[in-house]
Amino acid sequence: MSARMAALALVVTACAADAGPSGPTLRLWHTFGPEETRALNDALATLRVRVEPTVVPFGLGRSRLAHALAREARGAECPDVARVDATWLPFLAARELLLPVPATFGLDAFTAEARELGRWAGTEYGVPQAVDGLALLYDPRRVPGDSGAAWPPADLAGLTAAARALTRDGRHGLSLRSDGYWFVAWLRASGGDIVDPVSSTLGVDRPEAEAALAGYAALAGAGGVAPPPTPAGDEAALEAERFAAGELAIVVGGPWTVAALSEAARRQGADLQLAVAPYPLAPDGRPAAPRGGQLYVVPHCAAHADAAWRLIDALTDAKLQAEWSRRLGLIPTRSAALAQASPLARAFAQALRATRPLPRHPLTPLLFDDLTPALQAVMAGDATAAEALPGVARAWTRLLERAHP
Amino acid sequence: MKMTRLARLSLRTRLMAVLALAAIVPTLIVGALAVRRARTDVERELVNGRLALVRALGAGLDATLQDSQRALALVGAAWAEGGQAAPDATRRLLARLHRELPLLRRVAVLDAEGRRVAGDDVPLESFTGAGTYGGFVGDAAFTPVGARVVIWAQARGRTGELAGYLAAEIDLGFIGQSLRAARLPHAARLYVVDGDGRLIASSDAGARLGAGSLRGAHPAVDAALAASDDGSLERAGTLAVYRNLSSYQTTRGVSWAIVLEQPARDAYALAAAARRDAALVGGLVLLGALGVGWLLARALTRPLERLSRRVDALANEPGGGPAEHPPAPGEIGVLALRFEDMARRLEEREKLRAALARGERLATVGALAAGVAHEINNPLTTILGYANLLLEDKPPGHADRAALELVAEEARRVQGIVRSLLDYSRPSAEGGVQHGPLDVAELCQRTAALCAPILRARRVELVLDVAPELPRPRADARRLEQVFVNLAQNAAQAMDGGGGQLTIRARAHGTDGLEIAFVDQGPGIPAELLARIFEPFFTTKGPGMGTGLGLAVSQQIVLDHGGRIEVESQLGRGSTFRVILGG
Repeated sequence: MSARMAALALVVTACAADAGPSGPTLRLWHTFGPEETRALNDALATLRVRVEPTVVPFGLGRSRLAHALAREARGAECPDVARVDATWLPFLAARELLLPVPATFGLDAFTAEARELGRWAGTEYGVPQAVDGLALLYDPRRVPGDSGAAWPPADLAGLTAAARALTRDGRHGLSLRSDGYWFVAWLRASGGDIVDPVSSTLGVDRPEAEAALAGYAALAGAGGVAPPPTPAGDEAALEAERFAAGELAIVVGGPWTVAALSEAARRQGADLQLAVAPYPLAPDGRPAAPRGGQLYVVPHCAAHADAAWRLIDALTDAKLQAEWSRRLGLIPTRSAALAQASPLARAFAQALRATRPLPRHPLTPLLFDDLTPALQAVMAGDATAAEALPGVARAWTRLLERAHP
Repeated sequence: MKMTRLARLSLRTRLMAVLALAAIVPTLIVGALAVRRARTDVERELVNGRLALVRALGAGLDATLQDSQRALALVGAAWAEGGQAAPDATRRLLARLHRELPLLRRVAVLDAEGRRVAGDDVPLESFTGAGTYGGFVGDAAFTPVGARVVIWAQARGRTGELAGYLAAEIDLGFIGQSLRAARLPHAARLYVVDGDGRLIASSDAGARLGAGSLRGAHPAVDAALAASDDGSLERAGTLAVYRNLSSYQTTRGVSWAIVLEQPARDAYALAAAARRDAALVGGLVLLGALGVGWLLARALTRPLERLSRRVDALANEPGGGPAEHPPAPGEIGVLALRFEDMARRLEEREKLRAALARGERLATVGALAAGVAHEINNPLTTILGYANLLLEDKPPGHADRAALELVAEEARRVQGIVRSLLDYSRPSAEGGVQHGPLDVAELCQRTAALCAPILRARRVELVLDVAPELPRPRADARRLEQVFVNLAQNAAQAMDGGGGQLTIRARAHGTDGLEIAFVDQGPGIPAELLARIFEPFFTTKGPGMGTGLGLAVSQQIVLDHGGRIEVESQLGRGSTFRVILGG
């Protein structure tokens, strides 16, 4: 009897262990890119929980999420978990659309910089999934090479000089994105700033901003150190292809850029070697490059909040974060995971110490809607910096007035 | 244990098993792998083909939306640059936009604060203002006549400054039309769902759009909305391929997905037919292989079986009867020939052994008989002598004369028997054999003459068939005459009363030997008696009709000449005695 019963018990136990996902079906909204989505789906497949993920294009994420959360009466559409950009958190939290992270969650295991991303008005609403920011990516076999440039550059002048020295033989020294987020780093390193939403102080209407924008645009295209501007949608792919082909020496990018560069190198059969250097500091010694990250949040309208926090805990597991650092180049947010991360991810994390968060304000994600078109207009030669920046200032003034009537 | 069971199987079965293992099984495995590979390839190509269709349609849909948004942005830029100050110019711009893009049902122009300043009455629920990276596709809305969506584009002038927004409502019926226009595989269905899993368009004209979310109920929809780009899924008898449209524009675009579903049975119909054909061909090949294998096994085992039967025959019967012809080819044939050779040698050895045994026995009998004959001969001579003396004393007609003549005759008969015994037992060396060139023709003529009376009395026709120029081996003609006469008389006696023909045929045997056959048409000798006819005193004749020494003596004489007597007999057809000398 005993042997048979033991065998039966073993079978029952095995069946129970092999049973499919249990519990409620959790809706997960995210804005991961294709490679990241594959990694996410792989991770979800190993979890014993039913998840219904939905990919939302990054540009739609904040609007759609806010729209859906605001209509929380239609509970069916409310996600249980959403992965959001760190700049969206103040916008969502200020509208009381998010649940605070439970005290039992164990946020102490995360790095202080990462935790800061999920905090708004003294309350932690987001569990950091990854930290990111801008740094200089380069191939150590080519940079600084025989350019004679000091490396890594201490300031913007040093970066420009290095880029100029590296620009030769069909190769550009630096990539310059016509995107406001990238320009923020340049503007700050030039001594300017965008805006202080709290004090409603604009930075783009100052001479430093105008000079920075003009200088930035002058470096792109003929006679410059960067390729001419390309359509916004194609920038990342073109940049990666050029870098992999050796036509570009330095890329200004974040951890997310690593996957794109690797993919391009794989396509071209190139031997990719990457190194990371911090972005030059501002003249006052403060970091210039923006620091940000991605957070998991639980909306107020979530139907299964407890299960959602458990899912977030699983998705920020130290082991998974370490794996993603190797697979995707992402920088872990748990201290334990950071220690196990890939050398490149650790180097990136080190470089990101020389970054500064964007203003922690609900308006912040809206600022780039106006900054980027102005930047593009100037880089395309349609307008001068002096013509473009006042329009940005007017648009931001309207935003500030609306935020602080 | 298994090996023992295998060993119990017939050789043919084992050969079949070996053939199966060595040839058929690998063939089947390779065939199965090839079929599996072909199936995988066909299925992959099938999925790839459907994915290509889904990608093409998805790219077309994305391009249409993006182009519409770009057109709005361009018109917005023109409006921002000059139109906003001139209502007529705005109207002209919008009219041209309607003309160029009939897809846009209603178009509205909003100022930077989101207030409508020109154009149609477009639903503004999806307006979000800034933070959209320049454009936005709102949520799909559903009406009784179909699905609609509002797309937004920021209107910015040359310097990039925001002047307002353009919003356009698009009737998504064009998606359904393009889905229905697609050349779909049999029983396939194409549809597009929004990010919430609601049906936006379908190739099925009767499908209810926006009726409710398909998420949770349609695994393909779940997979499509969760996918990084495209993929396939087979679940519950349905094959689905899908594309998440957000992958075309990871920053802007839509979070919709396009899905193609088809019953797996229809999707894999071609592959299934190919599998069936392959299975049929495989089955035929297998049957053919088994048939060929069986024939091969039979060809291999038949000679062995024949050999086995031959062994049984040899075991049951000396000589085993005639060997089978033709012999098997190859090694088994060689083995059979060797076996026959071995059997023949064994048989000869056995015959020799038997002959030796018989010879020893007969020699003993002969010696005994010779002793007895010698002892009998002296008193017999006395008896015969006195009988003759008494007869001389008795005049013809004397009353004792008949009795005395009977005594003398019987004594002479006994004397003949004794002489025969002495002939049989007398060694050749001391038998007074007088060898000389044998004229067998003359011997046959003399035999015929000697036997003529008895042959005539028994109405037997004698045929002499003597080949010309026969060898003349050295032999004792007188003693061989005794043999020939004996054989001729036996033949005549065998054809007792019925008459018939006796043929004495003389032929050359080998290079310098002779074969003299005595062929009668008598009743033949039963097989069980054939082995004994050369034994002394063995006779089938009645009492007083024969001594049983004729054939024994004849054989001894021929053996003394280094020859042999062979006999063949068939019941009802006669017997043939062959005297073989030399050769």
